[in-house]
Amino acid sequence: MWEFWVRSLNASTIFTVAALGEIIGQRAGIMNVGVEGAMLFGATISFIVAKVTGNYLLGFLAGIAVGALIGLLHAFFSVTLGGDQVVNGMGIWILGFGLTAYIGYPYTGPLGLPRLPAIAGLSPFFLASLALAAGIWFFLFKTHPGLKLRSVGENPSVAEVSGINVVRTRYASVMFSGALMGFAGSIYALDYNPVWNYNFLMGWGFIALALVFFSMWNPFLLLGGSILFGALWQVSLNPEALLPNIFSRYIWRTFPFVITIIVLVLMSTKWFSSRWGAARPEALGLPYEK
Amino acid sequence: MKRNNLYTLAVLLVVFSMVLAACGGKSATQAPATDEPAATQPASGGEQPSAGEPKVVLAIEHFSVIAGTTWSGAHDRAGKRLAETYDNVEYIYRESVAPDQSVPFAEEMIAQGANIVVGNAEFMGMPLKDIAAKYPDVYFVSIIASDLSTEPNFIRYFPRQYQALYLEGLIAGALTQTGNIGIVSAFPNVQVLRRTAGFVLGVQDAAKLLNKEVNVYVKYAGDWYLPQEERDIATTLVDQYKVDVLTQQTDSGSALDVAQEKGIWFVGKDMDIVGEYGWSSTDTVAVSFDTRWEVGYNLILQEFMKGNKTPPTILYPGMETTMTLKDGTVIPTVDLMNDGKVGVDAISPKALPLIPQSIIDLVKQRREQMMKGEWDPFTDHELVSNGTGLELPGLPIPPEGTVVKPAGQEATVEFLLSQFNFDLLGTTILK
Repeated sequence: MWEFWVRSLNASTIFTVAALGEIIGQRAGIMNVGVEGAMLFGATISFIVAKVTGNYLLGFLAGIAVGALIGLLHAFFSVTLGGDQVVNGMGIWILGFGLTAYIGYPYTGPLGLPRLPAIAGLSPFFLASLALAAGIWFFLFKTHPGLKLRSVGENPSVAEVSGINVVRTRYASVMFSGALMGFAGSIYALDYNPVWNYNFLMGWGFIALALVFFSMWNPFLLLGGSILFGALWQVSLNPEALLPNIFSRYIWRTFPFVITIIVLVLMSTKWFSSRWGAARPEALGLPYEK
Repeated sequence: MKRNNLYTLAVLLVVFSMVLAACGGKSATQAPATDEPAATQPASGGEQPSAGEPKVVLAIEHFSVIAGTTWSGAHDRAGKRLAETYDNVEYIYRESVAPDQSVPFAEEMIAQGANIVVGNAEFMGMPLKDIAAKYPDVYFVSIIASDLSTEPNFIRYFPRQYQALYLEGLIAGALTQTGNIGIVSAFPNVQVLRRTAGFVLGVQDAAKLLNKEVNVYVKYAGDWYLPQEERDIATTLVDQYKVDVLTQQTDSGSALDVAQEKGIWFVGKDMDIVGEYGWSSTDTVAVSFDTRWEVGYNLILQEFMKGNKTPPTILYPGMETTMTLKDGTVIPTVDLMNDGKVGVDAISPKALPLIPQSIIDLVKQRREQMMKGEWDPFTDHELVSNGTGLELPGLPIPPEGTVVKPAGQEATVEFLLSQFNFDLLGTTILK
C-alpha cells in the first residue's frame, strides 16, 4: 500500500507545481490553457541541459527559465496585445508539442544520470510542493502584494485607479506562472520519469489545468485535489489490484475530469455563490484596456 | 473590422495557402551518406553490387520521425545500407507520415522517380494498396500487423522476430534468480501475441533445462507508447511481482529506465539500443535483438531489378535469409545483438557468468540451426492456448489447454501473421 501512495504522491507533485503556477496566473486574471506546452518545453530543455552537462541543477534552472520565457510570450499576446487567452494558450500547447518533439528527438532515451535521492521512495519535490502550496497561499491571502495580485484578477480597472500597475503585475504573475509550469516539467523529466520521448506528458498539463478549477483557486484545496487525482491515476493503472471489478481503467482515467466538471457545475449554481461566494476571479480571461 | 477588410483577409489566406501548396512537396528528402554498418558476421559471399544497371529509387515512408526511434530508425538504416550496397539504388524518405499523407507523399516521390514505395507501418502503409493499380510499374510495400491483403504489385512484409525473441527467452529464463520475468506490453494484438509467444517458449525451455520454475508476467499499458503507464507497470512488476528480468513490447524507454534504476536485467527488442543509441549499458541490458529490414527490402529489390511483374507478395523472412553488405558483412534478417556484438557474444559480459553453459550451448545451437533454416521454435513446439488473448472476427480465443498446433508441425505463414490470437499456456496476464 505504501508503494501505491508513494507513486500517487510523486505523480501528484507534478500536478501540484504546474497547477500552482496556473493559479497565480489566473488569480491575476490570465488563463493559460497551454500548461501542457509550457511543461513540455520545461521538461525537454531541462532534460537536454542535464544530459549534456551532467548537472541536475543546471537542468532545473533551464527548465524554470524556459517556462518563464513561455510565460513572457503568453503575457505579451494576452496582456500587451489583448489577444484571446484561450486561443493563445492552445497555440503554446501546439507549439510545445511540435517544437519539443523536433528539439528533443536526438536525446530520446533514458537520462543516464544517477537518480536523485528519495525519502522512503518519496520524491523530495513532494515536500517542496507542500512548502510551495503553503507559501503561495500565504502570499495570496496574507500579504499586500498578494492582495494586489488578486485585485488585478478581480477588477483591473479599480486596481489601476488604486495605483496598482496592472500590466506589470500581470506580466510578473504570468512569467512566474510559466516558471512553475517549466519547473513541473523539469520534475517530470529529471525525477519522475527521466526518459525523453516525444509528447511524454500525455495530457498531464490538462489534468493540472482541471485541478485549478477543481480547487476553486485555493492552493490548499489544490493540494488535496492533486493528491486525489494522483491516487485516481494510480488506480487507473491497477484497477483490478486495488478496487477490483468496479470500473475499467479507462473509466477511472476520466474521473479527474468528471469530478472537475461536477465542481464547475456546482460553482455555477446560485446556491454555491450565495453560500461560498464567487470563487472564480471576476476578470479571468478578459483583456484589460485602460 | 470592416467587411471589405475581412474579404481581403480571406483572399490573402487562400492565396497564401496556394503558395504554400505550390512550394510543398517539390523535393523528397534524400538520404545522406550512410554510416558504417555495425559489424556482425564475417563475410561469406552474397550479392554483387549491380553497377551499370538502371537506377532504382527506394522510397520509405516512416510513420514517425527517424532520429532516436528503434522502428523507423532501423528502417532508415536499411534504406541507407541498400543505397550503399548497390551503386544503382537511391534511397529517399519522408518522416512522420500519417495515413492520409501516405498516398500524396507516395505520388510525389513516384513523380521524382521512386520505383519501390514502402509504408513502414500497416496503418499508414495500407492506403498504398489503393494506388497500386494506378502505378503498375511501381512496387508498393506495407509492413504487416495482422492484415494480409495484397495486389500483384502490393507486397506485405514482416521479419520473423520471434526467432530472436526465442533466443532472448532462453537467456532471460536462465538469468532470473527470483523466477519472475516481466513484460511491459502494449495491448493484445497478433503481432504482440506472436512475439511474446516466441519469448515465452524460450523461457519455458530454459526453465525445463535448468529444472526451475519461472513465471512470465505480462501487463498491458493499453497502447504502444504510454511512457507514464509503462513506467508504472514496470515498477509494479518489480515491486509487487518480484520480477528481476524485464522486457517490453512497447515503445518508450521507461521500462529500460526502471530496470536500470532497480538494478535488474533488461532484455531489449527491435534494435541494438546500447550499440546504436547508447541508451544504457550492458550492465543493464543483458541481451537485445536487431532487426535488419534491409534483408526483406533486398528481396523486393532483387525482384524489381529482374523486372518481375508478379513478385512474391507475402514476405516473412527469418534468420535463414541474409544479405551481404558492401563491406562484405553478411547479416541475417534478425539476430541477437547488443553493444555491436552478435550471437552469443551479444550477451552482456556481466550476465554471461550467471548463465549456465548448457543454456549458452543451446542458444548457440538454436541460432545456428535457425540460420540454416533447420529449426524453428514454432515448428518444434506445440502451441497450447492459455485461454487468454484476442478475439478476432470469426476466431474466438482457444479455450485454456487447447493444443492449437501440435509439436513438429510447421505453422503456416497465414496462421502466424494473422491468426495467432492467444497467449501460451503458463503466461500470467495481469489485469
